[in-house]
Amino acid sequence: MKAILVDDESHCTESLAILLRSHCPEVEVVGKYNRSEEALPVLDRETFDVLFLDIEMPVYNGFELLNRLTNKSFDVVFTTAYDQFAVKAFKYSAFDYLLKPIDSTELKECVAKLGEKKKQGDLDDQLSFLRSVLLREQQVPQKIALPTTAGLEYVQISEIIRCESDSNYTRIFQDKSNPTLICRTLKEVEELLEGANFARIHHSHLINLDHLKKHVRSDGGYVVMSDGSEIAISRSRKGILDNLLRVRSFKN
Amino acid sequence: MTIDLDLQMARLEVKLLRAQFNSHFLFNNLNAINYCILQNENAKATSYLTLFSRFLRRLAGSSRQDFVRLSEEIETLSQYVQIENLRYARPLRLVVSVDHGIEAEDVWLPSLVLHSQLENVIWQNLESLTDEGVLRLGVSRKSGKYCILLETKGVYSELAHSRSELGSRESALNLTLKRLQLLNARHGTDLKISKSKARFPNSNVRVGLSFTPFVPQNLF
Repeated sequence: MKAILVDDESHCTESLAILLRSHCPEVEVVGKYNRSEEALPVLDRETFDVLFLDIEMPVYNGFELLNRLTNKSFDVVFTTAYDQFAVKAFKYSAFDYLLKPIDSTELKECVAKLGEKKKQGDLDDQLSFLRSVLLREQQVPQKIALPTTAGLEYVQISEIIRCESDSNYTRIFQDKSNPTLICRTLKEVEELLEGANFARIHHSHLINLDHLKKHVRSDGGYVVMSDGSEIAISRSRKGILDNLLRVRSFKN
Repeated sequence: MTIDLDLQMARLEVKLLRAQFNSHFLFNNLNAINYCILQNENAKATSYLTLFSRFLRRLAGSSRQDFVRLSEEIETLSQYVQIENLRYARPLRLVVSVDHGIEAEDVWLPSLVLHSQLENVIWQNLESLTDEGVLRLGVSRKSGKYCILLETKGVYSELAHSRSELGSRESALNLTLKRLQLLNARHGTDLKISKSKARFPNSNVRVGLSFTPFVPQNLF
C-alpha cells in the first residue's frame, strides 16, 4: 500500500512516518509534504492508495487541496488536532480519521480497515457533505453518510424508522419498502445517532422514537412503529424506554 | 444590570477558556513532544514537556483574572514563542521594547488579549515570516494613553485562513472585542483594539491595544 502524508507541521508528517514504519510495514510512504501547494501536483501525478491529510493548513486547507485535485482515486484519512465536534463531523460523513498525537493501535486498525477493499464512493460528494456538517455547527445533522456495499448512501435521519443488527452489519428501515444494509455494527450506528431521538430497546433493535406509534406493555412488552412493524422490547432494556418516554413527555 | 453583565461575562469566559486551550494548539504541541520521544530525543522531550506544562498552568492562572500586569503578560508571550519555536522548525524571536519611563510591572491590562492576538499573527504570517522571524512588541505612551503594538515584518496574507472556519468557535478577534466591551462596562476602562501606523521600519502593524492607564479595583 502506497501512502502520501500532507501536514503543514513537519513533526506531524515525520512522526506519522515513523509510526507507519514501525507498526504498518505493509504501507510504503512515497511522499511527505508540509506545503499543500507542493503536494498538489504530486497528488495529481502519482498513483497511490491512501492520503493522510491534515485539514487545517495555511494557503490551501485540507478541503481546498482535495477540491483542487483531478485525481481522486485514493482513500483519505484525516489526521486532526481537532476536538470532539469536528470528530463527530468525520463520523457523520463516514470519513476515516486519526486524532493527533496518533496512537499506534488506532493507526494499525485504520490501515487494516483500508486494506479491506470497499467500493469507491464519490469523494467530492462526501467532502461537500463533511464541509456542510462542519459549517452548520449543529449537534446532529439532518443527514448522515452511511457506507453500504454499493458505496455511500446519504440518509435523512428523520426518515429512519428503525435499525436492526445483522451480525457486523445493520439494516436500516426507512419510509421505503426495502431496508438498506449498512456496513456498520448496530453499536456504531447507535453512536452515530446519539443526540437524535433513538432508543436501543433490544440488543438487536434501535428505534426512532419519532416513529413510535404504540407502546404495548403486555406480552413482555413491544412497540409498534409508523410502518406497522412490531419490535419486542428486551426485559433488560424495558426501563430505558420507560425513562426516555417519561423524559420526552415531560419535555413536551 | 450587574447580574446580566456577570452572566454575559461568565459565558464569554467559558468561550475564551475553550479558545485558549484550543485543541489545535494543545494537540499539535503534544504531537511535537511525542515526535521527540519517537526520535529518542529525551532531553528535548522532557524540557519541551515541562515548558508546555508551565505554560498551561500560566494560561489557567491568567484566565482566572480579568487583568494582569504587563510584565506577566510579556512572560506569557515569551514562553509561548519558545513553545512555537520547539513546535516548528523555524525560530521566532519576540523583541520587546518598553519606552523609557514606563515600568512593565505597573501597567495593568486585560489578561491574554495580547496572547490571542499573537497567536493569530503567527498563524496568519508563518508562511511569510522571513528567516528572521521577528515579532516586535512595543509599549509606548501617547496623549496619556498606553499603546501596545504587536508588529511583524511578514506580509499580511489574504490566503491564510482563520481558524474559525471549522468548528463552533468564534474568531479570536471577535471574542477579544466582545470581552473588551464587557470589561469596559464592568470596570469603567476604555480598552480598545486599534490599528495604527508602524513604529519600526519595514513593519506592518498587526494589532494595537490602547487604553487610559488604570489600576483595577478588583481583579475579577
